[in-house]
Amino acid sequence: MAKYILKRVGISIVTIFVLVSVVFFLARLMPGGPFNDPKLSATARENLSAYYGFDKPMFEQYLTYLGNLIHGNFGFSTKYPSRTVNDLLAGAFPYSADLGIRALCFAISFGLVFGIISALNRGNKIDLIFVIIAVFGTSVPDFIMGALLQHFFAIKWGLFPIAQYKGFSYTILPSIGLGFYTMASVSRIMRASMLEVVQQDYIKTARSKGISRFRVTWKHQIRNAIMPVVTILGPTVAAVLTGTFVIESLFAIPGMGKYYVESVQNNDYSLILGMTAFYGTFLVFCNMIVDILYGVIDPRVRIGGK
Amino acid sequence: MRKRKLIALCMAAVMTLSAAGCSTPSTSVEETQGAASETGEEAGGDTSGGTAANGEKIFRYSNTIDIATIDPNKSNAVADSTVCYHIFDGLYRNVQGTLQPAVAESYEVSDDGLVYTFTLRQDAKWSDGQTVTAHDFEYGMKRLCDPAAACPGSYLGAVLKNGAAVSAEEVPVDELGVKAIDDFTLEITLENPADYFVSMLSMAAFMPVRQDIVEQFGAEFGGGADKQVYNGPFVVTEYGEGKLVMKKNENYYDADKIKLDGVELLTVADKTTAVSMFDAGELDLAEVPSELAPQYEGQVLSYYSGANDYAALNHRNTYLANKNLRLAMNYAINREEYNLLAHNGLYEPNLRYVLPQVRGVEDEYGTEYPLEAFPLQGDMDKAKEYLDTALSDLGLSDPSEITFKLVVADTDDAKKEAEVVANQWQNNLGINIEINMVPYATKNSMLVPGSDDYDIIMSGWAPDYSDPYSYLELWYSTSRYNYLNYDSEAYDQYLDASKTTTGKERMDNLFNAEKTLLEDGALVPLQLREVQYMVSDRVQNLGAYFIGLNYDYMYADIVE
Amino acid sequence: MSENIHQQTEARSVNLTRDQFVIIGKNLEKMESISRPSLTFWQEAWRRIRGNKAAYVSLILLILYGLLAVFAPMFSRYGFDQQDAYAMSQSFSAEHWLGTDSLGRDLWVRVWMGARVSLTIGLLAAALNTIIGTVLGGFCGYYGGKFDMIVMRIIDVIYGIPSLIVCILVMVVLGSGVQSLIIAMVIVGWTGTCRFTRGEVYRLKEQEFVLAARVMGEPVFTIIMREIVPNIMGLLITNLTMAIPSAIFQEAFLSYIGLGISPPQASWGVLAKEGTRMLKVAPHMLYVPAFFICTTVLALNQLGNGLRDAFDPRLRGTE
Repeated sequence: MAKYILKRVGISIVTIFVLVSVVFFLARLMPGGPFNDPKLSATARENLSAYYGFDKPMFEQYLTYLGNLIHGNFGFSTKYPSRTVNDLLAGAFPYSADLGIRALCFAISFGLVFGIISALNRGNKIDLIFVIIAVFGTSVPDFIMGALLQHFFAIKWGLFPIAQYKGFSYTILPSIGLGFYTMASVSRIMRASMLEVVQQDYIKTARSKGISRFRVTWKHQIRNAIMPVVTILGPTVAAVLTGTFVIESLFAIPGMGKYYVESVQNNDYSLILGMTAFYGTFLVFCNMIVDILYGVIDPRVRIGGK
Repeated sequence: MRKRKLIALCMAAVMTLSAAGCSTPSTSVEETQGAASETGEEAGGDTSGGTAANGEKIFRYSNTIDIATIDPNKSNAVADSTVCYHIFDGLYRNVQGTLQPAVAESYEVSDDGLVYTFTLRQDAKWSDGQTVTAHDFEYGMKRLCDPAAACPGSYLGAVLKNGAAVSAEEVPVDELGVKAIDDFTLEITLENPADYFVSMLSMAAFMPVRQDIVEQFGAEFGGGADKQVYNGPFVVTEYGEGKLVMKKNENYYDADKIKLDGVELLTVADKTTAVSMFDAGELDLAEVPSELAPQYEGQVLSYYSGANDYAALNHRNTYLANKNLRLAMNYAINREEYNLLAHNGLYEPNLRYVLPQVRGVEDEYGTEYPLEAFPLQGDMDKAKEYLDTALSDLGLSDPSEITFKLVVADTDDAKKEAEVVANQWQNNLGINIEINMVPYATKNSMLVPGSDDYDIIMSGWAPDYSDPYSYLELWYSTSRYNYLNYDSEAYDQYLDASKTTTGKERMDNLFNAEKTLLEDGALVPLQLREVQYMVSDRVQNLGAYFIGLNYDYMYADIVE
Repeated sequence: MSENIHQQTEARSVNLTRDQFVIIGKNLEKMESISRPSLTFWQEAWRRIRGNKAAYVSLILLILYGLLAVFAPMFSRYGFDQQDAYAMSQSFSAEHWLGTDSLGRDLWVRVWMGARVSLTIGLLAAALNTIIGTVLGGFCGYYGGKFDMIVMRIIDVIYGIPSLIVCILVMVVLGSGVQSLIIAMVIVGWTGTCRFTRGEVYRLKEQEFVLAARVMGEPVFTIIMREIVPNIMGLLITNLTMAIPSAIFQEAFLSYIGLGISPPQASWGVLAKEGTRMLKVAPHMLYVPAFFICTTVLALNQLGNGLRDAFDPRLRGTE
């Protein structure tokens, strides 16, 4: 097992290396270049290119970049000329992480609770309400959801602050906006899974042994039904933590989402690569953990292809 | 209302529960107050911001993106320059068109208009206590043009003697036309005489820069509040994610006239959000997107941002090389309806090329030299006439044989403008327009002479100094900006003549150049951009201008 | 209790005698007759879909949207790009059933023109993603080993490349338009289906019926097509119906950041994006496209659920 994990980590590092290399060259294929202000004179553009080392042969730039990358140095941003990419990411990441974790907590806790209540009340009005919430949640794009939440809860009814991120009440609407889709899908999966589990023999056995309904639900039904939810969480975590652009811009939260879009729009090479390396590492390791867990959870899946 | 509060409280309570379940990472996100105490008050829509509570006068406004840098040499965007205007003090201050001495007490100009000698005041201090000297100005301007420093605004330094040559590494930096005679005397030599030079001196590019601080922080100079020193009315105390905070500079020699205690500049990407925050009293100034402006009628102010937007016609295209067709396209635009559709009628339809508000000889250029090159509502008969002539010139039988590729950036406003213009040309002339939406950076990279990537491109120009020449120099046949690929002998001659003449004669030449440009229908002027904004009642003395900054809150005051 | 029953049956069996039974002989006709009409896989699925009310209604709604997208713009007196400076941002009325947008264009026509774009992108991108993902994922899952490892790492790399870069580059090469959007979405989109199919195949190939087929010497291709594909067909079709909404969402996101189809064409995403800006002034501009996005995605979800049940081999033959 230890050997397998070690091998997997090695492969992940190679993957990240390939990813960064691919993006390095793709980014430079983009039209426009980083210094595209029409007012800049040709000499200013040349000077800027030289300043950032963009005038050197592509391969040399690539080697320099890799050298810096090994030292964890992402270089200077072209859009924010006095700030390093490390500085920009270090400043923005805490906001995104905070928002992402809150959104996930909201999504998972509410999703599970809604799913369970819904399944236990199958067919009656309560079920219908939660099913409608779940269906609504999975069928509205996040920018519409965010705009509606902000419009009604903050602007029209004044229940929450409109924007910014400087206290608990400020975090509520963005967390809901970001987590709603996940909440809805967790609740749907949980409901379906609960209904499947309830028909299993061990539940009938437990009931016929005279265990109270509450204990059966709590100890047997929910614990078994939660597995499918756990399996979708891997990709979901990544999606929530990366999908923050819309919510952040709507609620004026200074997180990383904006760099994801802005860096590409400005052809800010160092920032694009910094973002890619950062998120890429995150995603690759998420997938790695899922793969390893896959082997741990399901004994039928053999590890190592022996 | 009680019910709503209850809902809010419930939601907040459950959120607390779910938030308590997960460990929040140790972040810089401040949890200012306890959750329980906050929800009750804030949920009620309490509008008095925390800023005013302790009696401090804090002016709060927003920008759609983060401030890129507070290094004055490297700032390029107007929002960045605005910050620099307030945290630095140049030789002279251009207070919305009126010149006012700043670090320089006075200046003398040589008879040929080339050598300016500034006498500096001796009580100007940096925020760390050092005296502001002529050497700081010399270093700043040399750094601006130094190719090794690679400042994007080096094109502005071209006004100085050898400015362009220094940037191009043709002559060493030491030969730049700026020299500190002693600590308090600065001599600046220009490349060509420029009446407007002193008015440019409050632009970020010409601010003093401290050599020792630059050397201390290297490339990270200006990358944080503590990586810079200040000599202006304000100092930056916080510069980071989503926020820039300024505090009154007590060391400023004119601190008595500065009424504000501080300024808070927030990054609010969504303009609609900013307007809502203004409504809730969280901002003192908000720009209003034109679709929202009718809702705030009576409250909305506006200023010319200086940008004159036009559809640039590429004269390399065989059809667009035809003057009659270009004129037909100009007459076919109903600029009143265009403005109504694209901007709710809030921008000013532009019937000429140069912004009329720039300085003329004595007064505004537009007042001295009025011009209405095309009728406001267009002239469809004239358009048809020109079109028919053009078609026979080009040997075409039907306008539908003509198809133009119209390039536009992917911003909301630009997209709308392109849709309206394309629609009018299609309906009024019968030619075909294919709109090609590209990322903003891609569009900008197309704005070079000799390009065949577009037939028509939605574009505009903001001036660097208050003079018609700032707009007109673009289309000189060999200008590096000439992306129209416009080549007119008459136009070039008028511009050449303007360089050797002064006063009214010079202005006449510039006006003739503008007239030539429009009579050729070289481009299709559309609008003068008027930024709609709202200011809270408690703010007084706030100004807005179109060169080097947008809002001027140096002398602003807040009264409750 | 169970002991009791045992005793009773024993007691009864004692009383059974041979003369209580009569030989009635064989009825060959009855033995061979089929009590229910035999149904193919697809007939069976269709029968079950019709039995599922939600799925059936969803299917009808989607067909209706499809028809309206094709025909509604043809029979309107407004062109989709016909502007009117004197009818800007109007709400619902007899002239403009769904109101007008900020350039005074009729929203009814624009919604259905937008449906053409959104539905085309959704259907094509989802279908291509599913096909490519299934084939590659099937091979990865079946063969495993090096091939699988390499494809999975390629997926990791593709997943990590900012999708905006891919979109912009595709648009540079092919120009902006529906086809570029679809291609860009497929380049980054097939990875999900591939991972998912691989996982399913991984699970299935260890099961007895596949083992049996292998032991019997069936070629790999036949095993995949005959044994594995029918078992994951339901999941694939469900996946397809789920991939359509995500393609529609993705297109909407791209429109939100300004990368999308060129004006004056509009997709539902573009309309919704314009609507969010107008929420304060003319909320119908958001509600209208949001309604169509929601109902379409909802219908696709319900249809997906129905299809999953319909194609599940374990449920075959049950009512």
